[in-house]
Amino acid sequence: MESDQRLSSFFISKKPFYLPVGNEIELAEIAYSHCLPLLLKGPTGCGKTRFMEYMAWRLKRPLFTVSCHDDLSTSDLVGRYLIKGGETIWMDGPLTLAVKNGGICYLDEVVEARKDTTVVIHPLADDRRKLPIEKLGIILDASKEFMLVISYNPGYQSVLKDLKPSTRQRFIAIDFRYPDEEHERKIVEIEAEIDHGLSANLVKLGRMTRRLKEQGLQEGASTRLLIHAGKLIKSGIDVNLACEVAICQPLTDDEELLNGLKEMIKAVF
Amino acid sequence: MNVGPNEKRREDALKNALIQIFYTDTIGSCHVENAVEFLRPIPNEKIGQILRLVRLISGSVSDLLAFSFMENCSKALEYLDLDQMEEWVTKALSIYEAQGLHPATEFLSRPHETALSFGNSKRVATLEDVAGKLSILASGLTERTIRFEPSNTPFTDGETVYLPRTFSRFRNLEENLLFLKISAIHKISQIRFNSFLAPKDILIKLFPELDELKSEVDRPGIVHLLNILSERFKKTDILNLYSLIETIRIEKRLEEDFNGLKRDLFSFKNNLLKSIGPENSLMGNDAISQIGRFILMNYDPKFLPKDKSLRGYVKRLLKRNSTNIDSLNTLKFLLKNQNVINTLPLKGPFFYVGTINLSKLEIKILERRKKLEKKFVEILGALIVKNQCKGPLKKELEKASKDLKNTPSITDDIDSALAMVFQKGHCKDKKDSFLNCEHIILHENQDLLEKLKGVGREIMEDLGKIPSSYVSSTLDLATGYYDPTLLLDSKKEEAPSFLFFSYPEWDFRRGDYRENWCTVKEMHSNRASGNFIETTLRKYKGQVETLRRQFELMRQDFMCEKRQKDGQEIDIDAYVEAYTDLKARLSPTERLYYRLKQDRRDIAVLFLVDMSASTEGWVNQAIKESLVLLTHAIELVGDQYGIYGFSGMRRTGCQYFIIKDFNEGLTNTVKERIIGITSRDYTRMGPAIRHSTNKLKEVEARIKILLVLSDGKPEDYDEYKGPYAIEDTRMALFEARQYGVKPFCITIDKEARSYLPRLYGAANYIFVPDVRLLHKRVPEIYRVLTT
Repeated sequence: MESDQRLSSFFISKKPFYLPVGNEIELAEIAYSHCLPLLLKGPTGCGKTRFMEYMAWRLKRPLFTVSCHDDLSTSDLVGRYLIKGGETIWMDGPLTLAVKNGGICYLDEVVEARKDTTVVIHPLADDRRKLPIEKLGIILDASKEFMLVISYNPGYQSVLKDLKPSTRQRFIAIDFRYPDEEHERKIVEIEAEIDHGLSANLVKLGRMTRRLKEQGLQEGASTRLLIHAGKLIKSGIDVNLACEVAICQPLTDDEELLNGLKEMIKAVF
Repeated sequence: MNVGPNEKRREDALKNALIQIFYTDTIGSCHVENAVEFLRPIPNEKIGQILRLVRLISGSVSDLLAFSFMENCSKALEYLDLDQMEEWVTKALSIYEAQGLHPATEFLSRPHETALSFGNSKRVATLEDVAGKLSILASGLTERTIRFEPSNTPFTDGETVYLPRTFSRFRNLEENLLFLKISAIHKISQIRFNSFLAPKDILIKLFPELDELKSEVDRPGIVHLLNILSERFKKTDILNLYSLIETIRIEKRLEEDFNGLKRDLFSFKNNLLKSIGPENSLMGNDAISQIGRFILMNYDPKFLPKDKSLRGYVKRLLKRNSTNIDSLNTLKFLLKNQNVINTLPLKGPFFYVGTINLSKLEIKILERRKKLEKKFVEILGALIVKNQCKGPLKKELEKASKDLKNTPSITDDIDSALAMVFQKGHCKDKKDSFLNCEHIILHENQDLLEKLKGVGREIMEDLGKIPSSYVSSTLDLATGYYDPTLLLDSKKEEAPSFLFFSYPEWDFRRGDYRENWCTVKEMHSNRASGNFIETTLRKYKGQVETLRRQFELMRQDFMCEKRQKDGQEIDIDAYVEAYTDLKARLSPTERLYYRLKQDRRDIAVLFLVDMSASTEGWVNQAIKESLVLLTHAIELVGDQYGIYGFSGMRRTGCQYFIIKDFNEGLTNTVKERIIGITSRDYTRMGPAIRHSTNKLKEVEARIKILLVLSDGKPEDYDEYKGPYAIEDTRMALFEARQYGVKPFCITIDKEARSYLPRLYGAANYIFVPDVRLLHKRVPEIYRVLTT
């Protein structure tokens, strides 16, 4: 009963807003129907996670999201024994939960996890679709509904953060970019609940910041940041201040770039 | 000059003081008298301080400079207080040390400029103040890197915006800064909204009476037209008039797109109106005054020109889809009226609109044209290569190429250009054809195709069509054979102490390697002595400190190793797990401790420095400075590193210079080799990368990085250029990756975006737009790359 309740919390009951920009939904559905794992790559804040929420809702499967970090261990994914009142009980990890319940396991920013951790997904990500649980001494077969999805941002320039070829070569990869101007405007408008003109200007600003790679800005403003700015403005914050705190400051600490970005805000609004 | 007794006494005292400083034997007494003349206006309370500075200059560097100081010091006192004067002198001394006497005296003759930097004249806006911010805004507006340079009148050549170095016509600093900003935006918009590019045939249609326009086919259209017009009417003000007409179009577009700029323009024009006062010259009823008034009144419909036909032209310019052709049309209309020509030059406050520098513009447009042709050919070439032309298809392509050369046809858009390539080289059997158009719209080629379309659009802005020669040169590149005479060339290098290596080279046209094609001669780089290292470290003292801190932090990066058999502390997670295992009747782990361990970075990095001829001068200097700073920083971290340079000419003459081998320390010899880095010949990158990969193979490290410092794309004297060079370099990098080497490129080549993503991958290169910032960026990139 308790586990049913726990499980139901992983279902997404309300339709998340997602505006498709290409054939990504179709691709993901076909991958799902053929039991193929999915790799989403793209810059931060372009809608990868939202897309997965939307897919989970659409496919009516529970979504188990794991945000990866470099201290993530195999037990964190698979499960571990816990002590409860002097007894030990086994607690499934998100991966096991997904396998058992035919859910979607979404490993966000998978390159952040240590490489020895990520190999645990290998047998799940090929045609075997099995999850060995060493502690329990069992091997779980994934049901047809189980889906494995990982995501990462290929734009990071650190050589230490990359996927092993043996990991990459198991996935259908969908490349996410920032949506085109019209789509992005619509997304910002709906998500931040602001008017057409304001969202058009925010998107204009966002796109201008994305042209600054050559001026030393590693990444331009993501759609997410634009939405944040929109929400602040909607709540009555002055437009310049909102853009500064939601867009410029999160992007860089460099004084010169900040001044330039502020100049851009002044130009657009 | 008659002087009173007090004055006389003062003069004698001055003379004595000066003689003590200079000794008359060496400079002659007449000079001293001159100097006394210079110092006469200095008030008594300041003279002691001034003399101290004179002594400082003459004692530490040069008597001549001291005289130049005295000559200017009374003027300087108008701008500077004594403290500032001291700084002024210090600056002059450092200019003297770095550049010699002449620049230093030059500097001393302009004390007002120093005053500006002290903000003494509070209302003066300087280009320096705005350039940084504006260049970022310009990148946002135009998607290009735009530089700012000083000039008396504002203008642009399409790549650089020229603005006055200082501006102080308005009452306060804000207004003056706004002037510089608006003027810059005007120039940037001329680039963004394409003021200077138009296909010639359209212009010929517009001005059929200008026969000269039909000659000199290759001259950029608008430049040629404006040149002819200004010669015909013997007035260069025609250029300014065009600029003014364009102002309506571009400002209107700006106002529609950018609310902030609209506000700025509004307040700027208010300032302008205030500054010109009631007697302004725009009250006239001539056509130009009408236009000027309309602009100044922020395009208020009330101020639309009264003249009906002129109004029609101006209204057309206000439309969103108006182009520079509409502006030219308006210009044509205005020039029909002799009155307009008589009222030139433009009066009134339109200094911010600036002028047009036809010669500079022409140079840049022609350069742009060449670059675009090259880019177009390369991308189209890559598309063909991607579709693997081999065997019979290759023959068909050759045939198509010949056909094209015989037909002087031109293609009107990119799709028909593509069709020319892909349909002419089409196989009859559909199954066989992997060159049909549908195929190239495969997902993996989408990027290239889009790029090609982008470049095509840019070409058409200028030429109105894609010349067939572009298409046929692509086919040449994709199918051409090598010039056989080049293969005979094999200059023998005879120097027994050198090591020789031979490497294959990838020929994309046959999809195979040419075995033992290149000979790499490895040798130690030349040494040079001097105090370059010390000077650099002193010059960037602040940065060296920051780097030291940052890099030391990297070194002290402790890693917490969990689940160890022994260690400083108990690992609670492991303990709990073991305990539960025990309870669950499983055998618990023994690994219950964690250990703090200094993180062994285990990184080896090979710096490969491009020593081609193009790096001569500034670039070479900047690369050396970056290396000095970087080596000092890396020494702190303890990463293994080697520095090598490459250059050479032709496949048998690839040179590979050892500047610092992996097993060498940062010895004096190494430092001398860094100082001795000079620019040499060409950039044959493939062999250098292959040789570097071999070097890295011998080094033991978990992570191996190949960091290329370059200023341009791969190119050699022989056929090693274009797609051939790019594809070979790409293959060499691919080989490197196979051996676990991570390549990364730092470049100052503006064109980098067109080929580097293909070579290194989108995230594995960085473009440093300003070579003067290289020393700052290189260590920073290294840090980001390895943490």
